[in-house]
This record gives sequence, structure tokens and C-alpha cells, in this order.
Amino acid sequence: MEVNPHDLLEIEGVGDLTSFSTIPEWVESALAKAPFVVVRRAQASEGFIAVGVRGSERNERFAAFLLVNRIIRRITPEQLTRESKWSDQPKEIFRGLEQIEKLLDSHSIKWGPVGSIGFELASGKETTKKTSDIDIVIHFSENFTLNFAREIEGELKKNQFRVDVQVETLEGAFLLGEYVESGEKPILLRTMDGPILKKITIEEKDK
Amino acid sequence: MENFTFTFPATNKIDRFAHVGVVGSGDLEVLMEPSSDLQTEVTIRTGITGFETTWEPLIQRFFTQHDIAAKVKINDFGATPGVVKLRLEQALEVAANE
Repeated sequence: MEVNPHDLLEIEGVGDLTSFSTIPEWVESALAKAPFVVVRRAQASEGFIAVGVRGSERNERFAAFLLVNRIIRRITPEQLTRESKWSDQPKEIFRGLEQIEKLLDSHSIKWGPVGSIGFELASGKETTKKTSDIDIVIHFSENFTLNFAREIEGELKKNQFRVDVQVETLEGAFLLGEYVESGEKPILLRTMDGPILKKITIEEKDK
Repeated sequence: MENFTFTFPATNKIDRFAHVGVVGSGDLEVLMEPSSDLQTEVTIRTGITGFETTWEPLIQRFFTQHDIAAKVKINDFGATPGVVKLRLEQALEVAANE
């Protein structure tokens, strides 16, 4: 099964996880409430996937490995977008997500919600707080020039919520905000083998 | 929010102020400024509590490898140790660029 960073995987529970370190107690109760783990951007041995468990507090994050055949269901961020799972949700943060949807759809950008808002949509369990940012991932394309990125970033800044955007390329992901401010200097690219600094440049095409 | 400071003896001056990184999930900001004292002072502010024992060896290793007299401020938003190290290297490159 093909999985990508940010995908949410439904599992049975804590018994499906393998880890080099002791599994903290909160992991079991977090998975009992919402049995989903998120795919991490890290290498794993054959037959395993690097995953992370999210607890209710910000310091509750746990890295583990999952046997591929333990996956019950896979939910990708793009799938959440296709289903517009937020349209009938009353919470204010989902109105913020609707604005993002309108903007990105008008530019035909492939995207999806991740982080706490993605987790809430996939699991159906309340995860976002009043202070939550909206984390989204968007797919890099050849149109993604510095000017285009600047335009998108400017529009997203108008949102009433803070929007954190990761841009996914074939090699890894970078933050939209850092790309916009980079002035063509190297920026941080998160890859399967860890973070690296890399220059991202796309030639402006004549229109 | 948690705050802690580490200090190390240092001798080499850096040339200029550096500000790298991003305010956002899984990342951090590093502000590095030259200091006339013979030491490095690293102050870390983080919303992810309970990781002082992870920070200490990481910061210590970096400033043992790089002897620079500087005041360093780190605002952390849940960066992994790999990201922290890379951001420190990036800041140093800007601050010590001949």
C-alpha cells in the first residue's frame, strides 16, 4: 500500500505499534479515543511505516512504527478535501477552511487539511482548540513561481485563522512562508532522510 | 511556555546579526547576535514543555563544535532535533559569512 506523510491510518490500538523506546501511558488512551496515527516523514524497515501518535497536549507526540498489514483504513488529506467534510460542521475554524477551499480551488491547486484540523475531520473526534492554526498541505507544481507563491500567501493571510502551509514536492516539503521570504536563498526541505537546506527556484514563464 | 538558558565559554567573534527559521508548527526561529563577552548564551522559549533534557545535549554539542561568542535566542514551535540543528547551522552561516 502506498502511503505518504500526513496520511492518517486507522488501526486497532496501541498493540499494533512497535517502538525502540517505552510507549508512554497517554498513547494507549489517546488511541482508545481515536484510533488513528499519522504517517511521519521518515524511513522504516521493509513492511513497516513510520507513524506518529497525537495526544491531547502539545507535548504529547510519540514516534513509532506500524506493520503495513495492520492498517484498517487510510485517509489522505486530499480525500478530506474531495469530500468537503467540513461543510456541515458548525465550528468557526471550518469557516476558515471554507475560505481556503474557495481560494485554492480557484487556482486549481491540489491540497488538503492536516495537523489538528485534519485529524478532527478524519477521526470525528474534537481535536482543534480555539487557539489552533489551520495546517494544510498543498502540492507543488510548475506554476509555483515566487510571485505565484507570494499571491497565495497574501490571500491566506486574510484568513481569520493563522494558516500554516506545507508545500509537498517529490523530494520533500517546505513551508510556503519561508519560500516567499527566501529571496532565492536555500530553504529548509524536509525529506524522508531528514531536513536539508536547498534552493527552490522556478523560472517565471512568459504569459 | 517554558524558558531555559545555557551558557558556554567562547572565544571567536561572529560578524553580524542573523535571523533564520519560521514561526510555525514543527519549526523554530533562531536569532543570533554578536557578543563582546567571552561566552555564548543560548535562551530557548518553547510551548512544548518537558524537553529540557533533549535540548541540553543538542545545544551543547553544537556550541562545542562551533566556538562562537554570541547571544542566541531560539523560539521553538515543536521542531525535531534535526530541524533545530539545521536551523542553527543556517544561522551560523549568515552570522559568520566572510
